[in-house]
Amino acid sequence: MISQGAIAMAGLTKHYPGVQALTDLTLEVPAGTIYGFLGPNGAGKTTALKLLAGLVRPTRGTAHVAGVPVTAGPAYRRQVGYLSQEPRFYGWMTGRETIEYVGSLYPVDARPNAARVREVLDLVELTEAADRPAGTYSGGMRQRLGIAQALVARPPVLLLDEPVSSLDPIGRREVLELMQQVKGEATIFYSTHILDDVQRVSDHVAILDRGRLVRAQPTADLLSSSTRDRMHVVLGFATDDTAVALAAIPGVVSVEPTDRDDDSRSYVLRIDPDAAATVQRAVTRLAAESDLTVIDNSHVREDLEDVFIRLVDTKEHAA
Amino acid sequence: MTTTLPGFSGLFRKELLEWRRGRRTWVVLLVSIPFMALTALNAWLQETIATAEGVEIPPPNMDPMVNLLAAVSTQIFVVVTIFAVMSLLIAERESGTLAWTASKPVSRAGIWLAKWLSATGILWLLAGLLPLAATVAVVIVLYGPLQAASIALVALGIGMAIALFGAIVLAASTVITSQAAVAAIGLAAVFLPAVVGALIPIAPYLPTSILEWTLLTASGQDAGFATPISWAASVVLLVVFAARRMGQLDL
Repeated sequence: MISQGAIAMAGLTKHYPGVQALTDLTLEVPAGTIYGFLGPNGAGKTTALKLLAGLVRPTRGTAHVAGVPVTAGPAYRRQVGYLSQEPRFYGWMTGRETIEYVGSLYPVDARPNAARVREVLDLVELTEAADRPAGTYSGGMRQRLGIAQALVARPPVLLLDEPVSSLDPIGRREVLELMQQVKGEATIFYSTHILDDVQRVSDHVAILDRGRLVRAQPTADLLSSSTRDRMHVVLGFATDDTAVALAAIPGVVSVEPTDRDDDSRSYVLRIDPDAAATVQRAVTRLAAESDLTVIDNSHVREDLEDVFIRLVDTKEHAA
Repeated sequence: MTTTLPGFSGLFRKELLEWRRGRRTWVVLLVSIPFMALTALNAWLQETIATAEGVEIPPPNMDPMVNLLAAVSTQIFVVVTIFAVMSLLIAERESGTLAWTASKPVSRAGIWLAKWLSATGILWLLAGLLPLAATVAVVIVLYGPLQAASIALVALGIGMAIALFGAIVLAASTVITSQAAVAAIGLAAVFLPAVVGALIPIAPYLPTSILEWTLLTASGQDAGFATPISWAASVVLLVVFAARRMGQLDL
């Protein structure tokens, strides 16, 4: 069942002297999802994750993970595995000892055994380096060790703060693949400002700007909702009159020519969202009647970057 | 302990392992043992040199207990404790490992207690008992036998002083984020009461007088009970204060 929220935040607020780091964050993260927490630098992502990890105390508001309130202290922290933005471990401990140490901090009934330690080291591909001091690990290895230590006690929720930001493309891909692998084991709530990554692995996305939540939606819905009122039409052998003909179709609000070459012209049609199917059929009919070739006749596809910039910009303008 | 301080056993084992693997252990040993043993050697050296050179000097006191107490009174183990403990919490706070540990299902008071108890135990052994054993050996060889009960009392006093000053420095580390500043607080706690005590007769009531109290008691004098009561109350207050502060820290 995916209906129960793994994480619930209600009015979560954190003010430092002179800084409103997070204001009134209310958000529910469905269980079993990879939830991307997106925002520009200084948006309050790290503060929100630290609040959820129980590392800072909220000025106001509450948070629950798997129904356990953050105020429950150690009992709450059993529910979360946390990876900080720049994971730091004891350089004198080996990777294996680091994982074993984390395990030793759990109550006996939840303490991972040696097989589980081997399993997570294997999962993050650190088996060969497991007996080397963690101080000798590269950034990517440290990040993977961080994911292993967060996972080892099988918490229902993983909180990952910018897990890939400091990595090179190969390290990034490895960690993103790892996140997808562990999705079955835990709900993943992670922050990032790398939009490509969110679009690639996240089921849901929340956008935070200047400490406030701007939007929270399933990623697919967020991308499609913004384009339901716009269609991209590319017609071969179109003429100057074609734009006029497109504008005359019922349900079309406006037509904006966007591109042209010798053989085709492109348009963005702003439409009544409820008339999308009718408009699509009318465009096809117009093409047939005017002897045009339909190259594209679909909703405008925005990527997350477009949506993000539009939402954050809109907010800035509104402010 | 596990139910009231979740994760404590793991935290405590980690602290012991860190002491075992770190260079700090060797530095403490190399500073403490020669310092105390050489101090005990002083009277014998004075006498030997004066005799060899034919110089007239006031005769040094060759009483075994006096020479043992002279070595212990240097309080080198207190200075070593302050410098060995000043980084325990602050360095972890700076590096982020404290936040990492605190994100696990452990009690923050337990993190502090694990550091304090392990440091007290290890420093009692390395900066207290082993140097004391070396000093006792020097004293017995050069000056004569000592009473076992007196040695035990001195050993206890050293442990109590290490526990107190370790607690002061670690409690200060929950408020201040500079290692130099917490070391300064520790040193002020060592020297200021002595200065104030010379002006106002409050020394017996100060917890920092615990070593003097044990030394007086070890040498057979009646030192009363004000100092150990003050010591116990101060340690409890420091632990309670530090535990509360740990819970309030934003990491």
